[in-house]
Amino acid sequence: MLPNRCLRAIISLTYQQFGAFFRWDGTLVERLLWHNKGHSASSIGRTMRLAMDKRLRKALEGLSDPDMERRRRAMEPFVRATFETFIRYLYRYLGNEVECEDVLEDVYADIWENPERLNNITSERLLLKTVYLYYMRNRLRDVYRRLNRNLSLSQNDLMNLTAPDLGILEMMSQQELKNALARTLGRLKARERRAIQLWMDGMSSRAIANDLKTTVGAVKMLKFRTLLKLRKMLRDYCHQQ
Amino acid sequence: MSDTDREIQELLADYAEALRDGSIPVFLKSLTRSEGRKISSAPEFWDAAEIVRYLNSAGFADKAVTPGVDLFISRVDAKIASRMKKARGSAKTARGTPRPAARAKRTEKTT
Repeated sequence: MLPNRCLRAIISLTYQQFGAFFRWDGTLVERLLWHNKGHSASSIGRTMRLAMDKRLRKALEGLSDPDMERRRRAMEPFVRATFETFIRYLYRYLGNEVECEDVLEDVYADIWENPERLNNITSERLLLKTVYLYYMRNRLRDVYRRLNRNLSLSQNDLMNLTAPDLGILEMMSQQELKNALARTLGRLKARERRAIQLWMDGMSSRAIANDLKTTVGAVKMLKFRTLLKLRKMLRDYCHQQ
Repeated sequence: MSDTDREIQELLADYAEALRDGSIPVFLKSLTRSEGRKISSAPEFWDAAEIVRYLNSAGFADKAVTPGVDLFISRVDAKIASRMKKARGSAKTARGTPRPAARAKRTEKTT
């Protein structure tokens, strides 16, 4: 990574050489410096993320033991190191603590039985992705599979609703997600932000309509449009990052 | 969730509320055939549902009451123990260990 002073010198030299081809507006340098700064920040972030928690690394090592009994003992530190992250992640899809616990219990037992997928894990993000794709997803599907006989949804739609494929945003950690949401929510119009905030406070559409002095139908439409807007903003934010 | 033919924004609002309240099965059961078709053919629904999941995670996952990890570990351990028992049982039968009934017959003969 070049220090900003060097970069500034290189840009001004290049400008002196090829000045005729550039339309100098003064913001070019600032923008490039900003990018340089952004890159260094993101590379530090990446290094930090790659450096896995020592406790978790040790727990993962224990899981690769071929002896079942020793692997069983290794489960305790692994559960301790990952429980909070996994249960919050599952909450995204189930919204119910009791079901989260039941599913997670099976997920850990599956990991104990077939831990091969976790052999070459180098980061917490990769761990979460692997556990979701190979262990959680199957269990999430099981939760709703028994319902499907009486449903008007196709099997595919049901799967997409309950255990979807991973998108760019899906792999964000809880903290990253909160930061991104805080940033994007701040850019919404006051009325849109209010509707989302009230919903996140646990209010029903009727209560939100009363607060915003409008109809329930209008609130639902406002929420729908705002969510689509939020999605676009979040995607842009992710691409920028 | 009592309406019979809901529009896509109404379906989304109901899905969001169901996810927030932890009652997704109720929402799924409430869907009629035409609503199911509407959902299938509306990409905006899926896009908005994705964001609903993030908001749910960011807004409510922290408020969820999670049990003590010690209690949960003992549950996981019990589950693993039962799976181990099953695995050992199936390994024994695969190796051809005599079953209790066969063993009883043999003891009868000897006596």
